[in-house]
Amino acid sequence: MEHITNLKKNIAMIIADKTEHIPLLRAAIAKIEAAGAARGAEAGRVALGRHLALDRALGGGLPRHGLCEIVPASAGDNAAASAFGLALALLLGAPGAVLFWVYEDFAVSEAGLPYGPGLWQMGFDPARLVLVAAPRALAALNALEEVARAGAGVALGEICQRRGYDLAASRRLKLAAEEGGRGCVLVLAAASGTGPDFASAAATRLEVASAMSAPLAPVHGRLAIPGPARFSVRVLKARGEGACAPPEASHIVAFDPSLGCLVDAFPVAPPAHSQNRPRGAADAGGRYAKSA
Amino acid sequence: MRAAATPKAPDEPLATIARLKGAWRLAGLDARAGALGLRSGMGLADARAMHPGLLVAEADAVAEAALYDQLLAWCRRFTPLAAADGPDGMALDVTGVAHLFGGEAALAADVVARLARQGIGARVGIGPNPAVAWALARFARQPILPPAIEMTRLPGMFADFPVAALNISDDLAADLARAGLRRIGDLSLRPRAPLTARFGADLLDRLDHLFGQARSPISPRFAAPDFSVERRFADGLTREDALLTHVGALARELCALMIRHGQGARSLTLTLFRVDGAVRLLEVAASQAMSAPGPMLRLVREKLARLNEGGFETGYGFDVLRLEATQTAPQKPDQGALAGDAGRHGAMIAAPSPAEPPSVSAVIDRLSARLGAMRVTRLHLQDSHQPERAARHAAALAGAPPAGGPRPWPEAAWERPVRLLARPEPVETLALLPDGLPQQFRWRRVLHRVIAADGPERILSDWWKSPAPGMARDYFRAEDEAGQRFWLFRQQQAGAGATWFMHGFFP
Repeated sequence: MEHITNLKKNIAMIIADKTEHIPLLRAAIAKIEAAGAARGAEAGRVALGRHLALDRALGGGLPRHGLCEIVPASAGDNAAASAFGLALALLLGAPGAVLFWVYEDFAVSEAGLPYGPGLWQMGFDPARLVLVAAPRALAALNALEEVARAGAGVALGEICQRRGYDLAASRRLKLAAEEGGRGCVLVLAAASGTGPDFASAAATRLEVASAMSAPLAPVHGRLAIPGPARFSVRVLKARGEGACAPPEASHIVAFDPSLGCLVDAFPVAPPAHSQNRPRGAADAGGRYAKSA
Repeated sequence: MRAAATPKAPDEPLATIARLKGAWRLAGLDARAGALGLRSGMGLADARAMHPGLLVAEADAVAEAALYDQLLAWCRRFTPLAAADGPDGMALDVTGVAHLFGGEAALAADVVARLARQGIGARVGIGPNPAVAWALARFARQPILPPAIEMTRLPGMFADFPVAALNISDDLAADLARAGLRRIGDLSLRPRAPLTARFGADLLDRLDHLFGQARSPISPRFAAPDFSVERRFADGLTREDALLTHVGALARELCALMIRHGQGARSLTLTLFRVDGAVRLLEVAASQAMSAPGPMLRLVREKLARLNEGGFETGYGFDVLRLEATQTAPQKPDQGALAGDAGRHGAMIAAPSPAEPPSVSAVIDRLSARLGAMRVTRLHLQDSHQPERAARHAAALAGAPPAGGPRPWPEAAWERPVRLLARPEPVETLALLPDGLPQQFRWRRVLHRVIAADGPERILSDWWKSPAPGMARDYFRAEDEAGQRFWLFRQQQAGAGATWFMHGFFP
């Protein structure tokens, strides 16, 4: 309450003199934000993989307690976006934690129901999943807030209408996620292609598209066989210390069920040293080449 | 019990008619029509000839059944054991209940007066067994027998009643009349063997029921709850906060009652009796037995909020609130405070660690109460190769799927999609490759060009389960230029070649 009265005072002063008091106003807002930010900073970040370029772009990983939005790059990428959201929820949750998947009915008619065998093959135990079907987007957001606030498990939401999802709604979700202490991932299925265009309180926003897999080579004129799924991820927004300004580059990553984390589909640099060969092997190789 | 067809009774006699064996016949009559000598079952033409001013309306069986159900639910304000009894009667077991209403006569008067206010004429009979009550309600001038009546006096009391008071069919009554047996006394004084030989055993069974020589149980529509508490008010409660305050008090009472018996409630029913006779039932369920009033009240509030969205009419208010635990489970008393004390003193009490934190079930309960039990589900994997049957959605209230269920799929392979359409959608194929796969296909008006594919995987339907033999499906995984991956299948149609369907999506 004290902050709010201060803020009101500041606003009154600003009306008197606009230019002088903007720093004051910033300070007041920073004070309000401080509590949540401190909690977020304490919790730290979750690395999405080992030596992942995406982690560097996010500033060390995904905030553990924040709200993360996922926007499909095009209407056809809904399945990829929700699977990527599931992968993030898996990484945010403790091993064996329950995952609440809250979706709007329309999302099901558009992209289908979550399918147990497929989730199992993706490395996720369907027994840990609680599915919540809400009739409308607002009901879904309401249920998602309830789940996030209770801190019962990781909350994964999927909504198709963006109309009800505004600054107020996203801020409520963010605060609920901070209070509950588990992460909250929201897939905005209807916002495909409009990723950078709208404002929200979320700390992170990623644009996800399905990327071409590495197909096995065609044999005898038959078609190639599709390989494991890959995602093309762009960081549209990343708040917090250490986060780079969002580069336009997209990261091609894959989810590795055996490691339980994301891996770079095209590792940029070869590993400097390996655990499977002795340290000096590179030098030895050099000598060998010289003597040849 | 005779129902008035319209709330505002006209001055003319009124009857409902129904088509029976090709002719219009009277089905239900109001009191005025009954007084004119009309009977149900009489032909409409005969009735019109006798009384040209008779108003008729076509009988609406559905509406009558709905009204009957509503009345039966309403009857539970007097006793938890209310049973349907023929098309025009209801049997209430008021054993041990009447004193709450100031005696049996006062109870009967209360029932009649409250039904009259709803526009329903009723007669009440109270007796030591259901058969006596049935006969008294329909044929007696003095319909209430004193509670401590001796069974041996019953044959004498009913000697002058017509045989129809035995609740026998009209045909049997006519047969008896033809034999000169019109009164119950004519039957009870005769030897039993010849009567059984001529009219069947049913007649004497009914006689035994009436005289209390055989037990005749009623089958209540609603099972009696394990625990029940209620509050009655002189005036109806209309405000929601007042309603919730009293529900909270009821919940505390119920919890005290259940804790004394070491039980917790798995499901609760809150019955709200409105002053004008409407009854609202609120059912909430919990995944774990509750024995604290807080969670109960929270679930009821969720449910009430949901009713409010759909228009929850309080009308003149609710005058009886009843909270029942319809499903209970044994529960150890909460020893949280004790464990905390022990912890302070350095002792450790090892609590059995539940697989999931209690907040999970609390969230599941709240969301189930708000959205409906079948909207909060868990996936149970099934041992079936049919894609649609491989996983089942079951209400999360019923608990987590058992550990160690079927695992028929290899791990870390991408053979099954993560999303499955509820119903396969047809796909328009454009150019077929030699393998039988389309080079291009159109789905939801978007054209996809296939660059990689795997298949076919033939899946036969469970012909031993479904009566109609299904078609074999050839499933393909296909990837298009944009990297989107689909699960398509081909089905041979009799005489129409193959048709293609979209069934699921890979990430």
